[in-house]
Amino acid sequence: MSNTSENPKPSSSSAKMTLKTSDNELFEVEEAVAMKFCTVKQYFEDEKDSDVAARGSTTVIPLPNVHSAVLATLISYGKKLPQSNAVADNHEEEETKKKERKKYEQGLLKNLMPGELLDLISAANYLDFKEGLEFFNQALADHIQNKSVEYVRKFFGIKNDYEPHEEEKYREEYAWAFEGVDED
Amino acid sequence: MSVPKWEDLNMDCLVNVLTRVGIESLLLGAPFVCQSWYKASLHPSCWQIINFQKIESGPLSWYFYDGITTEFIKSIINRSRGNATAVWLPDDCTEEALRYIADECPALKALILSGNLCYRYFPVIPELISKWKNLEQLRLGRLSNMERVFEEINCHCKNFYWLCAFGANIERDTASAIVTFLPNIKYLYMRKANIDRESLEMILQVCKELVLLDARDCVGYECDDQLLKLASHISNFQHEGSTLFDYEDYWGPNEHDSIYDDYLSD
Repeated sequence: MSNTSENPKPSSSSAKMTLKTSDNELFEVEEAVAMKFCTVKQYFEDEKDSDVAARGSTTVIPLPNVHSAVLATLISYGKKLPQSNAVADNHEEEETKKKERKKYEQGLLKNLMPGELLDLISAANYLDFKEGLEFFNQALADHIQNKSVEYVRKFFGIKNDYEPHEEEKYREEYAWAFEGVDED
Repeated sequence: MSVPKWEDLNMDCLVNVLTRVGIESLLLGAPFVCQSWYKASLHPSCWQIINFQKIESGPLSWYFYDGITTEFIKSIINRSRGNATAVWLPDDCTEEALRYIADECPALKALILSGNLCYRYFPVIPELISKWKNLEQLRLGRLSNMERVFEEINCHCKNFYWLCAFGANIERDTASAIVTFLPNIKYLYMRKANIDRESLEMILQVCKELVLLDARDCVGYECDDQLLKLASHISNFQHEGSTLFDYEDYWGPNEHDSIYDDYLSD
């Protein structure tokens, strides 16, 4: 991931961590970004507790449930978020950053293949990456909101587990609520 | 890459997505996808924000031959399990449904009454306010006994900060009630309201916590430097389009005679 127009102000921590994906790729990530993945944060803190001598930046954290392409996107998204340890920006800089982030988000969603969205949510959930989950869950909701039931099933690879007569019964059950007929 | 393994995602994730899809999808889409989606769509988190007006006006509206029924409203409110935080009432709400909403939504923070609302149950609303102790935001529609509502809010709703009275008639009594019972109001929307200058000045003088006052397109006052000075504590004061008289559509002799009288008799 290339760093475009990064803020030149130095962050207070430039320690890096290494994350290893399910397909054995290694990602070197700034600690500030990696800590947004609460699962990673927990692992890191557990490691720190269990080892008296500091391990430095050689810790490799395994993520057996996350593929490299997915992690790359999540890291990229994590980098664009306001950093909790960064020096506070003035209002103008904050607004510019917000606009940049919006533009990035729109670009990201546009280029996403349908299946990738589910992988991203799955990974963000596993990593306990709250901001990522929020963003991708919203994207998914926006995507399926106006789609038909058949489309949604296909998209998620869901089998319709209603028996035909069950589904009909269910629709009828709903109908009473809508028609204003008193329930017996 | 991998085939979507939706079954691997826990229910929490699915529920999180469903909280964002809107009431039509929750009623007509999600339940029919499969049984676990139906179950997820019933989760109380999906029913914290309930917009009955969207049902009345959207693609579901053709289901309601005679308007939304009380039973339907109750069944939807039940899904929130007492956690509803925002409700948009339908135009055709019955008194029974309204009382039910008061009893079953103690966590309510925002209540929106539509502008086309039925006048039938107006008298009931003030007495129900005491059930919504967490109320923060209220949109009134064209309620006529607003003063009593404000009085009740003052008594029971300590976190109240946002009022919308779009198109309302803000007479002297109403403005007086605002400054008496809602002096710390932060957001006040009264676009297209009928409000005279003195009432507006009263509000500007007393309501010092105002962050936003939308008094655009009102009939009854014209903004000038003096008003702007009075409103200088408000970071967002909107007054464009407000006029002394109603120059637009002429409603007929009954609607605006009183406005003309006030200014001609000086």
